[in-house]
Amino acid sequence: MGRIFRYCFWDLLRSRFVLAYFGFFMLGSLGIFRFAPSASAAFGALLSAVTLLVPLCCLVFGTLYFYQSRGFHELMFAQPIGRAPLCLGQYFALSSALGLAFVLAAGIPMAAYGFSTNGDIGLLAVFVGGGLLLHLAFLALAFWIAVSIEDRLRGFSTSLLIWIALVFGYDALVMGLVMRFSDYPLETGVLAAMLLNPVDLERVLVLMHLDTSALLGYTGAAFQKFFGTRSGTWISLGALSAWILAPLLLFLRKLARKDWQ
Amino acid sequence: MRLRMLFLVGIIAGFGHGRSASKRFDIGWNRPFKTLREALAIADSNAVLVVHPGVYPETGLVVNKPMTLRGMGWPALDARGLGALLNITADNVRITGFVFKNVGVSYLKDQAAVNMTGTRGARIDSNRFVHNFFSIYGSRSRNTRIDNNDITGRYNNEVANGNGVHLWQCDSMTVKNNKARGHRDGIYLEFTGHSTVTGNLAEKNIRYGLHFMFSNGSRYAENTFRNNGSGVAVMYSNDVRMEDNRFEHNWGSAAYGLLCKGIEDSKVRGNIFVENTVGVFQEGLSRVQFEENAFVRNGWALKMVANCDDNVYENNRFSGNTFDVSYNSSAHNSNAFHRNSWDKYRGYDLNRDGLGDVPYRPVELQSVLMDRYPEALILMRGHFLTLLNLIEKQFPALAPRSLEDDSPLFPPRKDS
Repeated sequence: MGRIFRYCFWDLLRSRFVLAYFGFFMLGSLGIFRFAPSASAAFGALLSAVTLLVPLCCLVFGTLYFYQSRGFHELMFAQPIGRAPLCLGQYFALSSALGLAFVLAAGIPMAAYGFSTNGDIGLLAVFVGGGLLLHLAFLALAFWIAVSIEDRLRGFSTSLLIWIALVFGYDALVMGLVMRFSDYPLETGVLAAMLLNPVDLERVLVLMHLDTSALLGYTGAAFQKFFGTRSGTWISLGALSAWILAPLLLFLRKLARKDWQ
Repeated sequence: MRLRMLFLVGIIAGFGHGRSASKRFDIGWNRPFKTLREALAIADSNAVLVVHPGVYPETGLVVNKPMTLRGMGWPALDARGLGALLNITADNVRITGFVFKNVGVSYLKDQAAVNMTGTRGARIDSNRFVHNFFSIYGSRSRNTRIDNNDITGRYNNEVANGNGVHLWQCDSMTVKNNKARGHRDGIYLEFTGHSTVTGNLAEKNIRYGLHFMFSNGSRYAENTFRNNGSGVAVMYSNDVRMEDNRFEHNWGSAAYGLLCKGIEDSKVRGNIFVENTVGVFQEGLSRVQFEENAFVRNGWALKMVANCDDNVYENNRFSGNTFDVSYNSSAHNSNAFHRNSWDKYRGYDLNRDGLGDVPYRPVELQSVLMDRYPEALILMRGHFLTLLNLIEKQFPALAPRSLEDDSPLFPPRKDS
């Protein structure tokens, strides 16, 4: 697995897609940090970009990568190496490459413009760490989709659908539920709903560290209280990890049972 | 000749004698009077009590004749947490140059460093107030000037903390160039009409920088209200003028730059609202004119409840606010917006008259939704809401149609 990881990782670092991914985020965040009036506004704008694009890029590139490795897989299956170590090596190589590109592209402009987060290490940790976890989660999803659906076209459209569902549809559903049950106290329900979607969870975690959080009223206060506690932090970390582990396990299960033809 | 000289000397002497009627009492450890209490006991009307440097432990002093109390070199009157300090019951008293300290907390009496009851023509100027329950307390007083005082409260909580300047049932008061911080309310006026509050700085007060109720015909101008727990509250008054004030950084889930409730026939002009959670919260406002105010980087610039009617907003500048206006009805609106500058305006000006050709609708869908379903605020900055907003911009349905600026400035003025 380690050797596969190394080969794939170096190979990926030279790939055009990863370079483009890095370049795009780099330019984007440079622009944001250059023109944003305050650190808080910059992080807000960057957050929008991250929650929109990271899932999309990971889903599309993840499925594409897995489909394109078909020949490589067939070659390697003839060698004395298991399916799981091979594909996990690829998975970690891909997440590391994209994750590294993301961290550098977000981190360099921050350093270049000397953006202090007012000593809020939590904001930086949540922003960068949460972004990395998003990569892991959506690449795992992508691999699961690619191994489950043989037809490329169907695979791609499934990943796009999942992207739309998690980035737009889920919020619409929550909005609908909030409107439907507005007569009841909803803070706990909304909180649980935010924990169940990695995109929303990352957004809310970062928002809590921005001064925008004061606009969130008493729901925001309930959130602040929850995320302020140790158990709240662990629960949200757990929720994000579940979004990585669940698709990864499903992927491995499918991988083991798949009849390669 | 000699007789005439004698007469002149007599006049001068007589004049001198007249002046010496305002007799001077010196108070200090090496002076004729060791404490202010001794001097107050025997001083006549129009006396001048000069207090020299030192710390004077005192409580419950009464000033019941017109006189001047002057501190030289900041003498301190220290109540040591035991009670109140000065109680003024006479007219035309002037207090200047003192440090008033440590007036004790009481849950039965409003103990103050300087208390005025039913007086006229007092002048409290250039004093320092440190760590008192109430600092300056006036009730049923008139024509008083309170200026250039530096007031620092107890910074603790709303309950065991009084107000910096507290005026109740007064009239024609002037509160000018004071600094008030760390009190419950920095400056508090209730039933205090025809008064002016100008040039003051109220910051870091636990509740309101300025709290203003049932005070008709009053004016406050050129004050700065900064970092107060809940900002400034102006309630149930009419004919109020609020001009050229700065409302800065009153930020928090229950903070407002300016909370207006039940205000009628008033004018809000030339104020600057920067970085408040809500710039102006408005409930039950009627016939109030908002002119030439700037709303910069607030959460909500204006948050209006639909019982506001016939208010006019002209020549205001809105920039960098998360929401410009929120309004909680989609049916009725009688408020008018003209010639404001909105940084979010995306219209055009074909005839180049400096006014946009399409109206600007400042109430966004998301602010309508957020008002109705506050829990949904958690979806803010989510992509679904952004999408909805775009759609609403094209096909407005939820905000009242009449709530729009019919002649927005074009191009919008830049942030300064």
